[in-house]
Amino acid sequence: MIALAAILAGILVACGLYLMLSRNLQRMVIGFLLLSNGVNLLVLTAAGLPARAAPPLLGEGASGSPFADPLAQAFILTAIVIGLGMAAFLVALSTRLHEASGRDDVEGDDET
Amino acid sequence: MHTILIAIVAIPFVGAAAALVLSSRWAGRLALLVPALVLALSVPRWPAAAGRGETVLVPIAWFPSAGMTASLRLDHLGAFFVLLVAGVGLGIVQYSRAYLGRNATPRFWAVLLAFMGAMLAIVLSDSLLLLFVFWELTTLASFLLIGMDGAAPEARSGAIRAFLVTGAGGLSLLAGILVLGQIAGTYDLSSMPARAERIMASPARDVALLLMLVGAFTKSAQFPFHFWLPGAMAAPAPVSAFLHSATMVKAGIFLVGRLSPIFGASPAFQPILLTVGLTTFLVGGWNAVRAWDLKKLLAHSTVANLGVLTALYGIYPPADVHGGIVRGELLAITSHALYKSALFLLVGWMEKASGTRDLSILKEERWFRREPIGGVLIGIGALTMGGFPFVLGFMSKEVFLQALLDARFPGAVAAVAAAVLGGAMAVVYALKLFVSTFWGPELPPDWRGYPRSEISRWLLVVPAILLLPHVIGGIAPGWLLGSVLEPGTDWPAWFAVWHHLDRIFLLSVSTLGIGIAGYLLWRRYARVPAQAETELAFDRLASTLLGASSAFSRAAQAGGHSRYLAVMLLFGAAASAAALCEGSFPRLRGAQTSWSVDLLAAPLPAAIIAAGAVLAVLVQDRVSKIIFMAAAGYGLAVFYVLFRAPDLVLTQILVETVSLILLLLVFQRLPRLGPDERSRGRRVAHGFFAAALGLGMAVLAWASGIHPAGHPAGAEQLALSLPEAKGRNVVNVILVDFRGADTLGEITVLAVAAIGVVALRAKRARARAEEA
Repeated sequence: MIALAAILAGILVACGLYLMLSRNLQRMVIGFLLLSNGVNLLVLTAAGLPARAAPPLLGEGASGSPFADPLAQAFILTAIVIGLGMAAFLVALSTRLHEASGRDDVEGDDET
Repeated sequence: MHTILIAIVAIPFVGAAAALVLSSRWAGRLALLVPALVLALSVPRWPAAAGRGETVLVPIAWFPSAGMTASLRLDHLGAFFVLLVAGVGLGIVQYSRAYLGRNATPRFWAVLLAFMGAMLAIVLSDSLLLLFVFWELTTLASFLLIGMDGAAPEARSGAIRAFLVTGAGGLSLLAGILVLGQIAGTYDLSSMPARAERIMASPARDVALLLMLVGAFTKSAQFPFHFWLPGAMAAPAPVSAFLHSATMVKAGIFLVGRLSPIFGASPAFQPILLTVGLTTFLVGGWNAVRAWDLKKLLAHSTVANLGVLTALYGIYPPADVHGGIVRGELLAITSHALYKSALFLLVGWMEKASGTRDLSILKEERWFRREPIGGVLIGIGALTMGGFPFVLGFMSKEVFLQALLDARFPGAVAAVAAAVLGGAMAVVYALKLFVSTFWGPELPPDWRGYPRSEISRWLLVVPAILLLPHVIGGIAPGWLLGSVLEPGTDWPAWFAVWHHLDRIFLLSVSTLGIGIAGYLLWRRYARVPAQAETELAFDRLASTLLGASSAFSRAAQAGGHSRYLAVMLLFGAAASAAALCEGSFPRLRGAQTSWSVDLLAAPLPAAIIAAGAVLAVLVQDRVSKIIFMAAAGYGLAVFYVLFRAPDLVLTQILVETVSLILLLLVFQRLPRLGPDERSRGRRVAHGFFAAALGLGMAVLAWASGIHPAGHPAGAEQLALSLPEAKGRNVVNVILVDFRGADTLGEITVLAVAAIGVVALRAKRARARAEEA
């Protein structure tokens, strides 16, 4: 389970970064959203998951079974929302850039 | 007592700060007050420090847990330097006021005072770390002073050269200090001699010694770092005078003095100092003999003299070093500081009076006829520089010869020969400075230089005062040395030149004889070189280095985001690989496995996530791209179910939906996506970087996920949630209670992003309104 999640996190991070390396703003925004999902999964995976874990809701589930780590979940909850805020800002910025310059890419270093 | 020491260090810096806000005239007056105050505070301490050998220690804690202090100390050597710096500094300030006039900006005064303060702080530091801080400050201040006339290329290159050489030496010194501090377990100079045995026993001792000596040698222009000092004479005359006499170059000598009680027992210490010192003596002397510019001549002679000062520490056995002072050292330093500052100031005057300092012009003119007072003053300075009798320089030279003759070390004969040769060259350039400058065949022209009425009298009065001790010391050396400079030490009668006839006397006479003969030869055969100066190998090295560093900057700071991101990715991948290699690659033993029924449910969402992410990269159509991205996000929501995170599931679905709608709506306004604009090679490279980091992240996540943390913070929060916060949903309790500040930060980020979006939109609306 952990191994599978780790592989998925790696795929999301790699795909997101590949798109972010592009100069095109639309690709960058999509890449950013993939990357933030990947990082969230990464944090969750790194926190681990005890066998037969229960959600961190007290008073539910079989007594004696361990709970999943609530702290990682709280962090990710925060991160998801911030990721949305960032994405919204990026989107607004790229449309504004397009209106101002008629372009949808940023200037890059010349290929060397 | 403690306050006095702190005040001596603080006064110049307070003065420097104040000078910045004053007018030029008042800043100059304030600058005069600063050394006067320092003198008033330190002169009364001299009898105790020098005569009774008392040491005042002011412990100041800086960073106690790391063993770092900022302690100050006043002892014989330190007090001597305080008096020297403040005394010469007072003369320099008064001369500068007269010499620079309106050209002395408040900034000049501030830098000069800071320079003085840094030098005072160096000689009063007990902590090596504090010493280093002020050591670098003198480097910085001297850079600003030498390069004061930024329009002159000579001043610029001289300043840069001085900065690079002494700055590099400073780094070496820092490394040496750190090594020494690790060996000794302290950075306090006063506690080091007691630990000398421990330091000597360490194998790293010579490393520390060499590193610190490189620092000292660069500062005091020892061979092979001597070349920066002549370039530094591009500064105005008073600055050169200060730099060459009491400050800057003497800091290196002072450091050697401070090191001698610690490293004296090291077999490397004395041979290095003696060899380097004598080599510098000869190299500097030879360059001074060849110089045609009076200021350059003086600068090279400073190099030669610093060689003698360094060599003195290499002659005496460790038992004869008392408190970092060897016999005759203070005499030699005083003598050099006073006559050299006076001569630089006098050459500054000469340049104003005669309009040139080029010896090839001056040697044709009889300046003594017109300027007898200046001529006599330069004459006295030249006599003491050449080591002629009846002035202090003679004593200084005799002490040096005596020390060499008394010493017992291999190669002593060669050392004596080097001393005689160097001394003879000093005679040659001293005669050049006086005879050739003033006693040419023809009367000087009227059209060069300023008329006498426009030249301030202070330009001659200040050097005259500085030369006074030379005359006194020449006539009554026993009093000056035995009761003022080094009280308690016994100065035998052989100082009086008219009293003795022995080996020293013979050596002295032969030095003078060789020197006079050399001068006559110089007069007959020396020709002005056609080309003034060749480019130093150092300058080529420096420009190559600068070129290489800007090429590196161009490559690393290319300006495009993808280059920056790629560099960061590579670094991240390397860092995660390093972390994995170092932290013993995770062993499966003790790892938690969760082979449960979940695994049956996992493949479907996993496949959706992986396919969504990969397809979002591969497809070209924009809408498909967005939809595949959202598919990966929804798959992730399912995955959160498996991770027992109900709140995450809800939020993820909500947020994914919002971003899906947002992108679909807004991207319509943007142009259609073309094929990837990156070249094939670049796509491969970017794919490689991204995959490398993705792999690194995956391995890190797996490695830490299968190893349960020892004391997860979450466990405590699970336990406290109900009793402390009365909440059953622990994630919610954490968000709104335990870590409420985080949530406040999150809301702030959202608000800022929202304001940003609104502002961007509003601008557009305004732009449209203006168009309409």
